Amino acid sequence: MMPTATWRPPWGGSGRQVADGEVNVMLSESMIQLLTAFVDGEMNPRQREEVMRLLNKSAEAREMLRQLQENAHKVKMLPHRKVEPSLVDEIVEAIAERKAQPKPVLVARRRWMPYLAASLAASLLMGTIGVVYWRVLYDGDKSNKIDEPVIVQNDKKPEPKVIPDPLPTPKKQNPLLAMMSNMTEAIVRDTGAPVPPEKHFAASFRDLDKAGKATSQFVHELNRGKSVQLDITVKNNADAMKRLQAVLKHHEIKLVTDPSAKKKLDDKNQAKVEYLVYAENLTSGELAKLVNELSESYVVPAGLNNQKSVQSPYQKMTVLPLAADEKQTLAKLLGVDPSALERKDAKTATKTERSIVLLPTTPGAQPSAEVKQFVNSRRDAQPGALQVLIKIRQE
Amino acid sequence: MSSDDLRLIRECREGNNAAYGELVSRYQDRLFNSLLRLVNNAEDARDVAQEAFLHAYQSLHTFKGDSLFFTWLYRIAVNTAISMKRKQRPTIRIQAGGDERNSVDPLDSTESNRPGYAIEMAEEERAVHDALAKLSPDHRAVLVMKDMEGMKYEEMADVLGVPVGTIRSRLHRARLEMRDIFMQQDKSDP
Repeated sequence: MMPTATWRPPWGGSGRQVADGEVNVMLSESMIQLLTAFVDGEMNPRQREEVMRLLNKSAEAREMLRQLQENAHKVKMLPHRKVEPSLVDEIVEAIAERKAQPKPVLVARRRWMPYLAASLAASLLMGTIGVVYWRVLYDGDKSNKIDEPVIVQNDKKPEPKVIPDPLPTPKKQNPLLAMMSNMTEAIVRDTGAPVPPEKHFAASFRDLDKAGKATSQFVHELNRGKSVQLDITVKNNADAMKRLQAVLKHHEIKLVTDPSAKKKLDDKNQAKVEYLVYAENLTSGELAKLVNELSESYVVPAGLNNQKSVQSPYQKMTVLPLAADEKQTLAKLLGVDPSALERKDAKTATKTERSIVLLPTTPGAQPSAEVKQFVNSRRDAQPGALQVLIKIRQE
Repeated sequence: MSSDDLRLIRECREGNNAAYGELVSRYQDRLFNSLLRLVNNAEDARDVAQEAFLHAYQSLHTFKGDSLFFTWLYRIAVNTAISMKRKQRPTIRIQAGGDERNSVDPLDSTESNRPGYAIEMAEEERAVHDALAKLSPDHRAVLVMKDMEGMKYEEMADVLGVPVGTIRSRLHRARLEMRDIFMQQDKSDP
């Protein structure tokens, strides 16, 4: 087999030994996450200490880390291949043939036309404002000066007075050209030449309340596709999940909870859990209302007859298209074939019970009876309904 | 960034095609090697590398020098590779180890003298390559970037245009999936 012989676990030995008197610790999801982060080599000193403690007390953790590191090592040690024959000549030739030049590509598809038109309009407006502004300044300057008389000296003809050009030649680039140049990146992307990757919509929950400036953009982003992923970070998992349950209840949306996730909800130490919530019969408007409410502060009981206002634990949200690998994971957790996630549109709108499911927090877990029940109750997609995977993680 | 890269990029912008040839020569093997693990076969990897270099040339004016030239090129190539894999039918073509052109180079000359070493290496490579091929393109990409290229989460997030949290969770799942695949391989191949 591969050069695994050169690999050694960081704590020495084979990693398979189990020390006497050790407690056999069942590895939780957060522990496994710690171990994979350890393999990635990206953790803070506190997490590193935590891993070392875990490794000291758990043979199972050591064995898992050994496997993970060995696998990473195998990938790392894959033989280095050379491209043959060399690409140099082909590329230089292709460049010469196409007469390609490293310059902006100005071929835009039609869907960029509105942006182009908007940019042109904005440039014209800016230009007009600039001219008016300059004129005001110029006139102002002129009004403060007394025109000097032209003195004729003997037989010499008076030299023509030089009147400054009201629109001096701009030294800087024409703003229209500058704007078009800035647009080029997006155009290049649209025409297939890759530039910076797509930026996803991200907003703070502070801007996502009812009057929030980001709410309409959020709805717009949701309406761009039929399936979407919301990556949400929260200040505190326990508070966030409690709040989510309350908001769903308020909106009469049933929350189906997988028993393993429920166990996590009841666990005091749930900081490192990533909760996965899946819904498929909510519209963008309904989701926006939920998010609005989640972003607002709320009241909790304090003492016998008192209440206190609490700030929302929800912090940031990123909206992404639901990627193929996430769909696969989702399908596994729901116990369905990935193709079964693609639903037909219902011919007519019917009133269905709105429910969402809190999925198991352990990857690869078998679907519970509760999850199966949710799956069995699935109906055709209602008009405007979205497929949404929400990931909630404590920051 | 290497001052040599900067000089070559400047010369390319001035229309010197040979300078770009120098950049291609400098990075083609490294890029190809990563792509080979992403797209499963040498032919596709070569095509993607070629396309990436051409796109990069035409987009050179957008390169601001905020990142290394290779990271920027890699972003272009990875996105091309992933989109190509998504468009393809989910068939798996494995070529590792079976191609004479890609014959195995022994890492250790002493060890390589041992009879059967080259065959074992080729088998192991095939097994790893097979395992990678079973992952989704997104999971494969993060694993290759992390384990082969040694990139940081932030760099990977930049390359793939997703949040760091997504990278973390993709890598986590990819590692567990790889572990399952290897365990299954071990069971079926005692």
